[in-house]
Amino acid sequence: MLVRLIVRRLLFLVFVLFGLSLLTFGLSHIIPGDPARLMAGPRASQSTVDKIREQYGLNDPLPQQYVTYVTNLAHGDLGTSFTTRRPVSEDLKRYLPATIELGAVAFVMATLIGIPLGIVSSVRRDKLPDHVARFVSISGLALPVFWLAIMAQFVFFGRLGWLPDGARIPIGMDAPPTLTGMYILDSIVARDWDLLRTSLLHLIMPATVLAYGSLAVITRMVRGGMLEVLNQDYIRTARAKGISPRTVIFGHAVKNAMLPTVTSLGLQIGLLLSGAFLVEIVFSWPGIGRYAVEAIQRLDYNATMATTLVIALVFVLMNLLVDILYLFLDPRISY
Amino acid sequence: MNDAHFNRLFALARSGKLSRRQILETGLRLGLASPIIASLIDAAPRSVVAAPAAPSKDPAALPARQESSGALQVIITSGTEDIDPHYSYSTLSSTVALAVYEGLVTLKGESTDEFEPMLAESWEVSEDQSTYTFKLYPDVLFQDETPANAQAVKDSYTRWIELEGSPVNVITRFCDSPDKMEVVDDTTLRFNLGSPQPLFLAAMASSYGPSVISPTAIAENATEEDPYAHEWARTFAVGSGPYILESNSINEGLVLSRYEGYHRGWDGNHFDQIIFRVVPEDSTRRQLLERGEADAAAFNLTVDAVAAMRDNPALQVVEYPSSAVSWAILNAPRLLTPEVRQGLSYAFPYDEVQNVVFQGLLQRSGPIAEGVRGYDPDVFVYPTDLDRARELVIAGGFAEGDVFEYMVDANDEREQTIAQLFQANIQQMGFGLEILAVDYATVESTIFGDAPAEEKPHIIGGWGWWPDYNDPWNQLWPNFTEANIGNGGSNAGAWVNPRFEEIMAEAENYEDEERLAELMIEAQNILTEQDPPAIYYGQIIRYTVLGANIQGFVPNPLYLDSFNFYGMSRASS
Repeated sequence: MLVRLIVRRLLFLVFVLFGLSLLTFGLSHIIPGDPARLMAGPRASQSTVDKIREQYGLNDPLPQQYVTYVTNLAHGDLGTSFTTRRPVSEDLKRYLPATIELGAVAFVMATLIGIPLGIVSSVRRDKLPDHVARFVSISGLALPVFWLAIMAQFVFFGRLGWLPDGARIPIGMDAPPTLTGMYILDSIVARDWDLLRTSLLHLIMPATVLAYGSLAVITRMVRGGMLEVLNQDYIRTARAKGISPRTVIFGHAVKNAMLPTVTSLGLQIGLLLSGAFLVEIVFSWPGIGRYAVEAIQRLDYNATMATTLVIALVFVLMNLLVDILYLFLDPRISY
Repeated sequence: MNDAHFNRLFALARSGKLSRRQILETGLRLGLASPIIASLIDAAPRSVVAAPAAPSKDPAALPARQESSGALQVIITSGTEDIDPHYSYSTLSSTVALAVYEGLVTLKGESTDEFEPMLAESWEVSEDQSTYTFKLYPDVLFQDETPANAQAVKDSYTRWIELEGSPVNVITRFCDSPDKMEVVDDTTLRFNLGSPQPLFLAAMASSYGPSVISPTAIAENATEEDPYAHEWARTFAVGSGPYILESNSINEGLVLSRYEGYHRGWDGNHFDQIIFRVVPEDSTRRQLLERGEADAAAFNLTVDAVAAMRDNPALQVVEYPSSAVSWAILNAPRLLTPEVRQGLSYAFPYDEVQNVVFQGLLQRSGPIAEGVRGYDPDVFVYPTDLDRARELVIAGGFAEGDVFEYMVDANDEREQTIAQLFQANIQQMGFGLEILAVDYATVESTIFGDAPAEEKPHIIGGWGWWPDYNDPWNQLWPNFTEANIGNGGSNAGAWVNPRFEEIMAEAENYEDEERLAELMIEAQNILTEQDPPAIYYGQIIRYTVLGANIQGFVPNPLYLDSFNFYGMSRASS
């Protein structure tokens, strides 16, 4: 059953990516503008612009450009970025690990804080912990991430000077030898503790800001799920039988309340990736978000398509993972 | 409120016995206490963060010199994908080129028409200005330790011509073939231009193109498909300038370190490293400067931030009139007659734009900036006069209630504000102004695209230009001549004036400065009072913000947003 689910979803993924590539290609080409002119700059002669257009196949009819793109994509070639003039796959290798590292730390923070907060909030309903949790979750949902990022930077860097303004490490400092591209892991492998400390210090603020919105959603989901479960008859029965509150909550309620939260967690990973776009701009974080924003501004079709496809891929794979987790969390579910 | 009170509150809260009144009361107290909390934040210990940039090459580990200024941190908004000086036309690549490479000559200090040596220690110009002979410093080495001699300059400039990159016109206007370069001996290079070219030195001092790249490095990195090693030179650099490019990342920045073998030597106080750090967010750039964690930023802050920094004793704001002029393009065919364009020029809110939007970082001008050859100090500048504007627009063929379209870049807040101020004036005149806020790519494709004027808006805001070198023809020709309508030219208003065409033809190959001045006075009168193709906001005042302890910076109106890194240092405290 599990294998069938995975195969079915992966087949579905092919169609999703195909549809998405068509949509992104169409939308990015609707914007009037000439990427060759943007690459060459406003002072470039027409012959230079023409040369660039020829070099990147921009003179071909649109359907032909799309067919070429998809054919190359099928062979694992994502094309060349107009912005960096490197193969897009090389750019992704360079920038994606930074975003994955940021997103992963944010996800861990959101989960480790959000789930306990949701549980405490539901168990202590209408008491101080609940008020705090609700404040956290409402503010997390209400505050735009870019505003939060600018404010956090203003307070913790600009006023207090406790944390760096951004970037993964100070420019000029040597990055760890690339193994995963994630500085925390790579510096641990390299046993470079100074670099690890610096990387963590640089990660705290962007990861916290990025995590805040997801933390809010997770807290609310857990709280809602828990409140529903805690009113169920079997919980009341368990309590009546004298089972300790700890066992009732963690042994019976939490597991059953987690199903909707797991769905939300899967989506949060995708949202964290896309939310990273704004956070990366404010914190000068050299990840895929900033790469994508520059790509969009410069009509860098190949880079725009690639980043869109990567995010879509992550969303679909996360949903698949969630579906698989369901099978373990609730044996009654079948696909 | 003491600890016991808090403990009681928490105990009540934990037991669920906290009353609504107590919650409200505590919340109110917290609210009232927030200013105190803010003050505490303000008074909290600062700067536990380590100082930025532990450089890969510790300056202390480099050979000792008399004085060292350490590293200069320059903040930039984005990196550049191409630093090849023979191909790229970006301000950042020029800034990097001026540090890593040398040309034959450079502009002297703040002057736009005096030159000083770089690779050439002296030069001679023939009486008819058709032959230029440069005597090079002997024994100069590139950063790859190969000789930077006359042959190397010729080879490098041959590449500049043959690569046909964006700034190729800077040389081919005067020297379109390598055959015109003659290596007389190891230290003598002669340009036989074939006709009088009074602007040749100016072109050779441009920040676009004349950098000499090591021919050995080019040869080593050339391939069959890329014989000029452009792919390599986009990211790497080997010149004879004072700094070596150590690393270059479009999303993170660039690091330059001093070149020990630099032919002018390192006596005195200089920076060991120049670090360009990419910081895309406005507020972050401001905070970095205000906290002293960055030393320099050129023309990439908001005008509000610049205004605040003028009063900050830890910073210095160096303001200088640049060679750049900003304007809005008028679509001549759609605006029917010169009267309409004159009328719209009278309708423009100059004072508000100058004093409110630019906060003084603009001085009124025509299409040529003060300091550029041919500038007319008596050029006609329009005042804002809505009655006169209305009269002219109606006389020109428009009727009350007609609506003009005004295209601006949606991401440019300054241009959007200008559009709104203009809209208010136009409405006051009884007409309408529809603001078309679009992506910058759309603005650029509208300007450079081949679409007929009828399909373009009446006005395109936020355009402007500065010359590649000190030459009015170079400023006017790309923007206002018939040859630049469509086909990649920026005469997006499709404006044609036969007399102006004649003036441009004569100015392109002028031989006499006085005659050029006469021509330019007439040209500027046509472009402003008689038959305006644009509404000129004015000449842009550029600024560079530096830490108060940075000394030796000399701005030049033609080297926009650049730095004379070799001459700069940090004052010892």
